[in-house]
Amino acid sequence: MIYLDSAATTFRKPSSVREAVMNAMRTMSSPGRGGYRSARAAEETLYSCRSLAAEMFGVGEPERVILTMNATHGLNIAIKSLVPRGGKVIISGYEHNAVTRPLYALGADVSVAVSPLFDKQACIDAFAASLRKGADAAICTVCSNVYGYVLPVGEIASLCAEAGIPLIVDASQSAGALRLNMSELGAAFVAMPGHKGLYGPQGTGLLLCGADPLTLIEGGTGSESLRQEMPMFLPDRLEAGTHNMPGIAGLEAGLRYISSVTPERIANHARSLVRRAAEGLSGMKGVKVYLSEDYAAQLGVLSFTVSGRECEDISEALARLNIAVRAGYHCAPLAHRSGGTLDGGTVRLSVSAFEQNADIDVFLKAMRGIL
Amino acid sequence: MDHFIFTARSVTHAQRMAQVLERSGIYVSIHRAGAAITGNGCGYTLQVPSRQFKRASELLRSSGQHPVKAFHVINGQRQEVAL
Repeated sequence: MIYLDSAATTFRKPSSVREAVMNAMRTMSSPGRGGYRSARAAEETLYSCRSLAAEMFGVGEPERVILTMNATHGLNIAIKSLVPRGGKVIISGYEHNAVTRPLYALGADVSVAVSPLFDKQACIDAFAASLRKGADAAICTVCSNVYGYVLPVGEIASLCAEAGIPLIVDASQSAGALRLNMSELGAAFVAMPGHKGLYGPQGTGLLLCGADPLTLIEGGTGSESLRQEMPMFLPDRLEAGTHNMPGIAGLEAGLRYISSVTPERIANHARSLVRRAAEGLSGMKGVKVYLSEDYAAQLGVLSFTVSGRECEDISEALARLNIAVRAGYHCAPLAHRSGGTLDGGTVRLSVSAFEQNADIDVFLKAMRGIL
Repeated sequence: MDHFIFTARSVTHAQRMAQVLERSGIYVSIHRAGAAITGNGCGYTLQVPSRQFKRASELLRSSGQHPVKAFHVINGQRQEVAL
């Protein structure tokens, strides 16, 4: 299979991740639940994962790294900690439904900092204007899951700090490929999945807490058991119930893999593949690609449309040739509105550290055949 | 034989304290603890050799990783000590 849907989930994982998952299945039970060997093995792996993430993302205290089910889980905690029912929120025009649906459920008064695709200065200006009106929180993705567009989160974080408005950062598409330092950014929360650019298994994610969170769920934590209130301290406050130890062990191995390969190499590799795909597609009749002229402004995601053809038809035709891409709205209709592709969506290809030029060439050959 | 124990809020807190001490060459063991020690139900403790208790207390204080309580254990009998 030619897999070009890493923005959804990186399908190819380092062998160390698979081995760590299997080892956890063999040797680990529940952390924080006993003094016996399998519980201790789980505790050590969990703490190692937390510590590695804290170091990688500049979180001073490992206990402020929360293991979640996915980025959506982390974003829900962050949003529901900062935004009261009917509260006012500023978001970028490139947010995912993982942001907009919780806000809708809260009945939030959402102000979208609208800006054109790949126009960083316009994005900064839009946030600056919106922040002047005040809000309970601002939310910005680092990288659009539809276009790979890298938003100016550093500048937006500075604006939020000046305005005294807490910032929630969605690092779903950038974690593992773009360095992010929580302490320097000064964000209230940063959420990310474990199963995309961190190369962990599905069902894992991280929430980095710069602010004090509210609980999303309550339950057993293996601590302060006689009290009915959830512990006030992290990570226990946010980690009720049994941990996904095979997933966390795999995520820990994924973090080690990224540290050894480096995010810069991964990002350069992904950008190079996207450019190759864009160049090949651009020469095809009726194809429009959404490529930034600025190499650094786009990560390993490329959207395109084909005049007169449904996106899903293209995707289905590729699937029949065992080539995996994603078509439609990518759970981000707001981004499609901002990028001008709300009428029908796009076909999206996205890559990881494991795809090669040859994969792109097979995809391009298939596209020539389909068109 | 006697030793000291520090109580921790959680396993993560115990691991954080252990990391601070081990970086300074004080090797400790982590154990489960019941309500009789924690007062709040399940918790964790770090067991520290007596000769290293004072230095360990100072290291934890200076690192901001304050134990919840400390006990001197002599022949299996615990006596809470001031931190």
